Amino acid sequence: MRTRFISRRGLLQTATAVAAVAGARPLRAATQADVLIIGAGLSGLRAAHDLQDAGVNVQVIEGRNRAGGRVLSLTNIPGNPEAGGNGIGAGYGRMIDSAQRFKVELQNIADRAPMIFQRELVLGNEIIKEKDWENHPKNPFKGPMKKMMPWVPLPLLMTQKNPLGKNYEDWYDPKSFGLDISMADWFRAQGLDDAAIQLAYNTNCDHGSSADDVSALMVAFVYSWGNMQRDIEPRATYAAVGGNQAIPNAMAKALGDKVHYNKAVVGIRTEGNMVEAVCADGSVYKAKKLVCSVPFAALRNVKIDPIVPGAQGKAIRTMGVQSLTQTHLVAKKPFWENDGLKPGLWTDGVLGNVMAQPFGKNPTDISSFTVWHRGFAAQQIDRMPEADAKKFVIAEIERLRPSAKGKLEVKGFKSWGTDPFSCGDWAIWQPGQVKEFITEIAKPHGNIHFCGEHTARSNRGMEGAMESGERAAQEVLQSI
Amino acid sequence: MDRRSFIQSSAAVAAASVVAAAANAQTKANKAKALDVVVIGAGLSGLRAALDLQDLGINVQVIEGRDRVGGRVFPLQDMPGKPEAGGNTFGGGYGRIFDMCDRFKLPLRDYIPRSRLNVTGLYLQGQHIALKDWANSPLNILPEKWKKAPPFGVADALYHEYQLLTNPDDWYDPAFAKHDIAVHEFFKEKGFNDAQIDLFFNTNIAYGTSSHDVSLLMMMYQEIWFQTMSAVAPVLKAVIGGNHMLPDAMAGALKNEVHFNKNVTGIRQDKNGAEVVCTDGTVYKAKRVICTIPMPILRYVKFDSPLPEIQHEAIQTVPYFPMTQVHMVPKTEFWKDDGQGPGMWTDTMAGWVMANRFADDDNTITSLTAWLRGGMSTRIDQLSPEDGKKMVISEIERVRPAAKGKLESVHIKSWVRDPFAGGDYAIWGPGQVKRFVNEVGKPHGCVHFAGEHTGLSNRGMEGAMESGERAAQEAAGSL
Repeated sequence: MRTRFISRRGLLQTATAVAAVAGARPLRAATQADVLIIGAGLSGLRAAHDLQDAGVNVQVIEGRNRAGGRVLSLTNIPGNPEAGGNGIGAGYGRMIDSAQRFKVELQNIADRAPMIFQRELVLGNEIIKEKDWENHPKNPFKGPMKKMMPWVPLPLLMTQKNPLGKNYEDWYDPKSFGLDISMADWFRAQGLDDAAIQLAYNTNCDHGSSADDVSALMVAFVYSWGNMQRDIEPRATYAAVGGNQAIPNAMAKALGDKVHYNKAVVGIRTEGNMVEAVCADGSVYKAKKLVCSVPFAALRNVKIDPIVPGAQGKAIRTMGVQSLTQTHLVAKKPFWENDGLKPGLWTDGVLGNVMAQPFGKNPTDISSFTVWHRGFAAQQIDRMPEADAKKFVIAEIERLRPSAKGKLEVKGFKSWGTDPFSCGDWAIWQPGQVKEFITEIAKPHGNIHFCGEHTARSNRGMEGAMESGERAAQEVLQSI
Repeated sequence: MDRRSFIQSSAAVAAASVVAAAANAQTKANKAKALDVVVIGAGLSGLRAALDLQDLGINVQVIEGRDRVGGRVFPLQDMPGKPEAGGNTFGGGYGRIFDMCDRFKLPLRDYIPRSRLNVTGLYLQGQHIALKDWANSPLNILPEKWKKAPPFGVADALYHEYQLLTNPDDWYDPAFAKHDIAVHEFFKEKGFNDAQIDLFFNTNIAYGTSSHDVSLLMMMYQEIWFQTMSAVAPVLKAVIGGNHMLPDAMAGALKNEVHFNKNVTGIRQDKNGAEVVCTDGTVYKAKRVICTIPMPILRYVKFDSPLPEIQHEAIQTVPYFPMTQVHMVPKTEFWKDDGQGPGMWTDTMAGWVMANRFADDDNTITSLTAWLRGGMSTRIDQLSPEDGKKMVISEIERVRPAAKGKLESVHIKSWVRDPFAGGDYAIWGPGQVKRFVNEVGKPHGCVHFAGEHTGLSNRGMEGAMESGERAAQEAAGSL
């Protein structure tokens, strides 16, 4: 880390020199810039600002008709729930800085977190009360774990027995690569059997679709890093007032007409000293350098010429991606007050995890519900036509708790898997992929630099995206 | 271990089970209508298992999630010529399929004259290249030796030239496990670079999603099995009127009619038998269950007694082939206007366009099918069906203006989006053959598994039949 900061200062000096030269150049055609950035999500926007601050002429092209990528606030729903990036941890330095710089107000939402755990356990068709769980025939746990609700063992084990301890950055250190095994194998080493793993991990799976297809090293990093956020400032999770999308929106706005929307990139070609991006609408953007923030699952459909070789090419083709689909519901009446059940439901079915969103005036006011279908549940929901999926969600909730009958309305639906610009949500490092790809994934390919949360090393999620944009901008500055 | 002795031993099992079944039938008469066997899935494997059991006098009930039989055998009835969206043709060695067609007196048609290569042109990086000009095209980056081969023929030719197996059954023999690597590594070893591999393997990919995701062992097996099929008899056949006539006839011969729209959510069992639970609340009780559900869908079925670790892992992780077809009717023979032939192998979102000849004669082109596979399938599946159809037609029109306004898209079929398939067929990734192939078909308590993913000596429709036969023998033998 230390060497990086030192080199950064050096970079910034170089960048200033570059900027002086750049300023002397004649104006270019609209489709030409010094640096072209693909993607107006957090990573691309961060790279664009860093480069522009250094005096570089940038252009951003974005496939969607909006900025923000996987940060998407649903402003038509009370409380503006997030369909993408949610909480901003206390250690999200770059996010917090950007919010301040672009005058987006943050609020601490930590006191709303307890509402998330106001939920009933549903296995099969059965609602199992917390007091009955320990001795319930469906409880697969052994020993002290038997007392825990199914969502407890994973975070607990990953806190108490996290092999990285507090040294979350060790995840990319070769000394940790022995842990680049499946989560299932790691659980087994902790004494859990398959039935316990099925419930503790595969049900409402946060990373991957099952414990068999995710690296324990990645999950250890996720939890170690997450715990670090809480260590920095307990009871602090921030969100932008009005929705997190206000942050990328403000960043994009500050770039003005340099951001071009509805530019779906289909090809990236290097021609001599120039690199060009070809869009689905036939437009071509040329630049000396290109920063590509396209998630790998979507980059698979972009032709890169010359081809990205070796392990990096393999990473583009094979890295996992989180399956995630959300249904957002609004209740016409507080039905949960009538049936004596907690507002949320944690199910082992395609319905997934029904979470109450406490974004009203008080932390206990439920403004909407977000149903998280993850992993295989998301894939099954995505097999239904959207109208059928919405009906299915309501029918399932009504079947489980008749008091909800007629009280729920779908106000939002978002499948990240069927979104052509992301093809899923966050990147998943499968067993063996950390050691194979970690040093390769973000390497520049000729004049192409890569960013995006999948290329982050020291952070995850929104902060990881920002970190990667910053790093890509530094690489570019160093190379021009 | 060899196939012959396997068949012998299974014949013995079958004979033994006839006796057992006869004894059973007597004690059974006194009981209520408890089933001997419930078969989940009315595709070829499930129907085969059910018929075999019925022939042994066993009381069997088939339940099916869809409202039709046939599973991944599915001709499109609303298209001229009724092209197949799933299982296409029978090779010479499809003994079980041919026997079954004989049994139900289904007339077969010689498919070879209809399947002659109709791709005369490539469309790569924005350029049309006639196949005859390919060897000298600047876009042909293949090594000298392979320049003359069409890009879609290179991989098969390589497996053939460097075949590692001596017979199809070698693929699941642990002695060959060292070849359970990514085909990419094999191609590299043979001197190809990443760009060449990308051209001949990943463009219109025939297996998996990239050369990194497919086991060499699976591909070697595929090749030698195909050769074996042609060696038995160099024919390709299909049922006149559509291959669905086979599962239709099989289902029609069942004494207990197939129950449709039975979407299975769970299987409970104890030592006396099993209960199969459906979404509509129906519960089927039987002594034995034969489960033919493809693995991507089997992930949603809850087993009250957990499957063994490796079997569970296979179900969770084995990828299925993403494949989507767009079927189109040409209003005119536009290919005569631009002289490029009706079919096209492209690197666009039109994928691989094939001409179908399903009229009474062998020459008339009845429809065109755009095959979108791997990443292309994933991409088109992200669109609504209507937008997907439009995209393919607009891609074809962009590439060859003569087609403008001449194509009507009647049908789109995504196997990934199909809630009872989740993909076209099992793709064994590197390392998965040795880990899973001998395990996925093993019985779990009183549940037996069938379906093409559990076929050991055959693939496709014949693999499905083989697996149904094997599962029936297991179930009958244990009643």
